[in-house]
Order: sequence, then C-alpha cells, then structure tokens
Amino acid sequence: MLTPPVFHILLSLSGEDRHGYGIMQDVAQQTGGALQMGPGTLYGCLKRMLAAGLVEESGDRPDPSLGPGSGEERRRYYRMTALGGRTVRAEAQRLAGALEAAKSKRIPIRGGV
Amino acid sequence: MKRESVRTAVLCRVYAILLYAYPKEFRKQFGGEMRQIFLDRWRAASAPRMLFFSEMAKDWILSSSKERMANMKMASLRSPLRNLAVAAATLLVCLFVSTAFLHAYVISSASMEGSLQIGDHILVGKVGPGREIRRDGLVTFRYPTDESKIFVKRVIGLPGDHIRLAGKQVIRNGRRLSEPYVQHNASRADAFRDNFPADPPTLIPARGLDMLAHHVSGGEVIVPAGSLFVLGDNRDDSADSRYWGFVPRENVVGRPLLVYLSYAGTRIRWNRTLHFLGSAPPTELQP
Repeated sequence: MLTPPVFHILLSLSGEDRHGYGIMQDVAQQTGGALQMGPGTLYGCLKRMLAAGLVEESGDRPDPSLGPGSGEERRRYYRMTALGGRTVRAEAQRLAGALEAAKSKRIPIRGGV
Repeated sequence: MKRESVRTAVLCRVYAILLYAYPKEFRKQFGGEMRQIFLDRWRAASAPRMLFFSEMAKDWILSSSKERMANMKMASLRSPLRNLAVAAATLLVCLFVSTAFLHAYVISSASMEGSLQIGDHILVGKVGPGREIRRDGLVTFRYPTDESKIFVKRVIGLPGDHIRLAGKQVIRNGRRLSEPYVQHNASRADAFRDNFPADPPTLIPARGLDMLAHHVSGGEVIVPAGSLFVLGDNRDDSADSRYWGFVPRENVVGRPLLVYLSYAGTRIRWNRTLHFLGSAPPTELQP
C-alpha cells in the first residue's frame, strides 16, 4: 500500500517528467484540490521515493515557456523508474479491488465509476 | 509594485531561514528547489493569502519535524547517547537564551507613536543592573506607580541632567534637543505639558508631585542619582515622567531591539516587520 502523496506523485510522473512545482500542480488537479502538498511534504516523499528507487532525477529539461530569471536553474526534474511504474500499476489494481469491495457493500459512490 | 517585490524578498529570506529546521542533508539536497516552489506558490496565491501562510506553516512544522525524527532514528542507531545529549543541550540553550536575554512584548498604547505603533510585536534585550543606560535610547521598565505594568519610553535625562521643556522643545543641560522621532498633535495647548516644569493644572500622581516639590531648581528638573527622566515620542499625548516622576534605575528591564511582526488589526504591516530599533541619536543644538 502506498500513501496518497506517493501514489499521486507516481501518477503525475507516469505521463512525463516534471519538476517539483509541476508535480504539485498536477497532484492538486488530479485530486480536485483535495491533496495540497507543501514543499516540505513533497520533498520528504521524493527523498524516500528516490531511496526506494521509485523515481530518479532526470537530466536538465528546462520548460521552454519559462524564460531566464524564472528560477529555472534551481529546478530539477524527476522521472519514474521501471520499478515505480510497476508499483503504481499494482497500487491502481489494489484500489480498483477496494472500489469493487465498496460497491458490493452498496456504498454509494459519486461520479458513477 | 515595488512594495510587492520588497515583500517577496523579505518572505523568501524568512523561508530560507526557516529551512534550517530541516536536517542538513535534506536542506542541501532540496533547499534550493523548496525555495523556488515557495516563490512559485507565493506568486500564484491570491490576496489576502492567509490560506497560503497557514498551508506553508503547517507544511513547515509537520515536514521538518518528520525529517528530523527520521534523521534522529538513523543517528540514534549509531549513537543514542550522543543524540540525547544534543537534544538536551539544544533545549537548555533555547530556554536559557529566550529567558535570559530576550523578552517579547506587544505595543498596546499610542504613547510612543512615531517610533512604536499599536500592534508592533517587539523583542527586548534584557538590561542587567550593571549595564550602562544611554540617553536618547528606548527603554522598557516597570511602571513605578504600578509595577505589574511594563512601559516603554525614551530616556531623556540621566542622573545630574537638567531638563526643561519650552514650547514643546526639550532643553537638556542648556542645549535644545532636535528629536526627529517626536510626533506632535498641535490641536490643543497645555501649559504644563509644553512648558515644563510648571504648576500642574490637574491632579497628577503623588510621585509627580514629589518630583516637582523636591527636584526642581531654577525652572529645571534635576535628575537625582539612581533615576531616569523619560518621555514618550507621541509627546503631546504621553503620560510620562512629566506626570508620574522619575523611573528608578532598578525598574529598567530592557532595551527594545526589533519589531519582529506588526499588525494593524488583522493585517500585517510589512514595512514595519523586521524593523530594527536602533537608537536614533538626536543632535544637540546650541542654545
């Protein structure tokens, strides 16, 4: 089982490499603003995910929409590893199972999944 | 726009200092990125930004203690005793420093307006009994008439000084003081307040009467040994030594150093926050 921040960070990195602020924005969007991570929480997770080999630092890939002086040189980009990919798939599978279990108990679920 | 960028710079500086709460390795690895994100979030946040501050404060407290704990677990595996000693020493130093050298107060009166405003949160350096007190600086002291209250005023006279006011102008030892920090409300004249010493027009505290009865000579107050003569910077609207007499030296507790936070109601006054209270020395003019 993954903690929600770790799961959502992996989801946000499964499409593309992102820097910290990009991850934060994407996670907020994924969860409809329900999961707002501060910088300390985000990098605490990333530290443990780096150590566990779920993510790795990718080479410099400056976002072209940001000009000089936007702090681009301070940003680092993160990429999901193969292990991270397997982990996020396994977790999504587990969540799908949990959802089925909830449905079978007639728990109402909004959004009609 | 300019005020906004000053505010941003101050905030980023504060956040950079707050990052010291995280373990060193963590700060080294992620500090730069965290500062960048702080800046991004600050720029994206919409006024009044209370939500931004509360989120950042929560994130800072929770994640820094979490990282510290994680680090302590690692370190204590190596050397639990050393770790315990460091924690105990840190706690002792914090307690000692905060109580032995610094006090914090909130300004609740307008009597020092010009220098200190209602809502200013100030840090005061403790002044021991042996420490020299300089003229023209700010002091905090136990109000002689009710020692449970702490007042802040400006030191105008030291023992032996001859003090009088003529037309709101302080004359010390025959020289007029130029006091750029003083504020006047010219609305109403008051012979006693503006031309001091004189016969008090209304009832004033006993200590004030005692001063007028025993320490006035040649139209001047002469500050006795072991005492200070203090005035408020909001000169026309300040109850000070003119009314309640001298401050005994032993009542002095400290010297205001810094406004570390300033509120006007619920709004932060940024231009007053982190504002140092150096003693602005008045220039003595020739008579």
